[in-house]
Amino acid sequence: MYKAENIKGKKSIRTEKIDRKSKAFPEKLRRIPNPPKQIYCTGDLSLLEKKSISVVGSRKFTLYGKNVAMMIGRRLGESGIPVVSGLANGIDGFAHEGVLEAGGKIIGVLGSGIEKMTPRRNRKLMMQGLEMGGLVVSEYEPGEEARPYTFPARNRIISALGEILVIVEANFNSGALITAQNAADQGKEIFVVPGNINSQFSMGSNLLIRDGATPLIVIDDLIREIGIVPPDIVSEERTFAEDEKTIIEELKNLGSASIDILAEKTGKSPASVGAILTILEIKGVVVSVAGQIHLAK
Amino acid sequence: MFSKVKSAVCLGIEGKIIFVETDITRGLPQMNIVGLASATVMESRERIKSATVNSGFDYPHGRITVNLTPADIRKNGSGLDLPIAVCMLTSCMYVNKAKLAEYGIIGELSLDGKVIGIDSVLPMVFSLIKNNIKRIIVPAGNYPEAALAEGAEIIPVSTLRECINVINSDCDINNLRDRFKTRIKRTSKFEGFDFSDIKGQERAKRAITIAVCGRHGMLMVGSPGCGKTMLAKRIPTIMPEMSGDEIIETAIINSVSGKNNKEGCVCIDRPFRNPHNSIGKAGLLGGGLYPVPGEISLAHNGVLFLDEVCEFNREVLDMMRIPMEEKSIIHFRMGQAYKFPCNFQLVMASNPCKCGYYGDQERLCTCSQFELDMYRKKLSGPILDRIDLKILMETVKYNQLSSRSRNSDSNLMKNEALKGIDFAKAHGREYGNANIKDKDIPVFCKLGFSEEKFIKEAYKSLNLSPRAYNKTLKLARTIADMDESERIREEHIAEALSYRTISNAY
Repeated sequence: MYKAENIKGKKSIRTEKIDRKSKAFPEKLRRIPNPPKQIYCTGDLSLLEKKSISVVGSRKFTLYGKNVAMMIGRRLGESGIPVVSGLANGIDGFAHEGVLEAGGKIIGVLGSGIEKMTPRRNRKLMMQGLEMGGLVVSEYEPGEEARPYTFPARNRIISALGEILVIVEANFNSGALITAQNAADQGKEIFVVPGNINSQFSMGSNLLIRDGATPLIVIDDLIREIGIVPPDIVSEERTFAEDEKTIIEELKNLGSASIDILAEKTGKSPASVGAILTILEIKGVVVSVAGQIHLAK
Repeated sequence: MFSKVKSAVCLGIEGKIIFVETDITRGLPQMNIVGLASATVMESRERIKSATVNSGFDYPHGRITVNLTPADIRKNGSGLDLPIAVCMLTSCMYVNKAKLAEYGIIGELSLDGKVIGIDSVLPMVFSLIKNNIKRIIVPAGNYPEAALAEGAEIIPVSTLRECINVINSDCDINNLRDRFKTRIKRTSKFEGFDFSDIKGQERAKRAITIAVCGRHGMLMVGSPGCGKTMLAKRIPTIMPEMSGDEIIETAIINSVSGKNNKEGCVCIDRPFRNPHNSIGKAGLLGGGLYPVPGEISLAHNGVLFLDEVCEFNREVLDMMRIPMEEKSIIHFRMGQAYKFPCNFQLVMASNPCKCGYYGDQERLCTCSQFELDMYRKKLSGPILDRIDLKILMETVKYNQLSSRSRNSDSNLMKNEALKGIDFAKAHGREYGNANIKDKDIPVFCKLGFSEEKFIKEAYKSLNLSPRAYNKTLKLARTIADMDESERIREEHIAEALSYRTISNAY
């Protein structure tokens, strides 16, 4: 089974080696303190010349982080800006998912050879990205396995390929902080999504803001920063029943809440709150994660 | 001289009538027992000898042959002591032979001539009644459970001499019966437990009420300390009373597993079984050389609660699948099939992840992605398919509750559940909507035009599987029952959907 998949993988992915000495080697990478000797690419090479934005974050995430990562991905995808990220679990993956949802282009930078794509569960995402005209880059030979040190090492390529680095959610020991350090060394602008100051998941990213990174308040700031005019936002009006409105209002106040808390606040029975939330879920207004109800988007 | 007595043995949960025959002939004094008797029965020789002498009878001098027929059934258990002794004494002319023919006798002897209670009396009594025996002598300790059986006169005795006096009609039976009045007991284990002990968690309480009303399988997921186990332990307080047949079924299983005679009373509460997660295959499903019921059968007509379900051996859990569908399990031992019923309601509780804090608002989950995936894998799969309700719980903080907060107690919840059960019964459904057969769903869970449209929409936008579709309908039926509504309305479906299970859990 494993072998068959491997052979299939070899068939569908054709990689191209670009040596540092070659003219095709991207200028962005040549300029950094310790450029890779060569890169292996697959997909649309012209993306390397375009102005792009890197979005990273930790593997573990809150729903807030996930939503923001997807929002950023979608918006950048709509604006036609390629998004560079690590194709890792968590925030990296969500940013790319957002881009693909909006029909944009992704640039994935791997910590392993392209054929040995790690983590394997995101292989589908990578293939989808490639199908939609994206690009995957790695400094390792296609058949090389990932090792613990290869992931931090590829972070310098992530930060180098983007004009700006955006950090969505990062813990104290997140790899995203290494990317931030690299970006600082390379002289890139760093935007950080502010998180709750009591959230474990935003501890590292909030510290970056304290140390001088720009807090990301409006996503379009990113687009303006690299000199592109953001496209108009298409908004849709929706109608809700009175009960539904009460709950949406309450969720707007609380951010997120369990069904019990919502029942308590609105004075309804947990049974009817559950029923209303199901209808809102069908309408795509709320999502439930680990027992917490959140407004979608 | 030859004589014959009727008795019984128990195979699994089924009694079988046994005829005990003795013949005393001239020869060296010895007693031989034939007829596939197990070691316990063989040892009865020594007990009978002492008990006879210590009760003031003469032990016969001669060669005593005891035969147990039918000879092809394996006979196990100490319940044959008393019939063998009575039969032997009949051969010695101590007992009126004509009167003895009306009796069936069960009981173990101690050396001083006392009759001791044994396991599995109830199924034995039933088998004797089936064979038209009108008067059955049982050990006094087994009287309460044996008295559940109707159709024969049950006579409790406490000594060998008393037994013989009863048969010879020198003893007032009513007097004996009064001495050992039937004692019926409610489970005291859960006394003083009430759902109001748990503050908040109203949604979980609502889900439990629905689960009890429709006998739906249920899963609670939440961080340590949020009250999963506390809630589960209080489920017995809101379960409906058992019907007459159910009491007997449960009493038979308790009888076979030796839970009745020890306390000398019958428990009429629905069982609530809470096995530890180290349980093995035999413990859960039943087993042994002479098979005894496992936890799934002990939970028959009641609830099987698996706490920390992810800590159970996955293989053992998966073996519950077929018994859950069939509502019974069959064990094969030495050419015999032993069938145990197991119609139970499954309630499970689990942490959301290995460290327990995934999704917690304040504490950090320390699990790696791999650990999370492995843990969820344990929760998904075939067993999760049998679950109709799933709720995610969070720890309630003291300051989140105000004094005017709802706090349902057991009484209120029981009434709600009973309302639904009565309504279902009035509309021709048996207890437990969870057991509605798939082919009956269109009959019992009829949907109007707009409801049909609503559930189709949900089916698409919430990515439901066909199995989830049926589960939702059954659950919606239960919710409608509790609302005393003949039609399933949109709000019932919507609420049912809010408890839906997703295979990747959360």
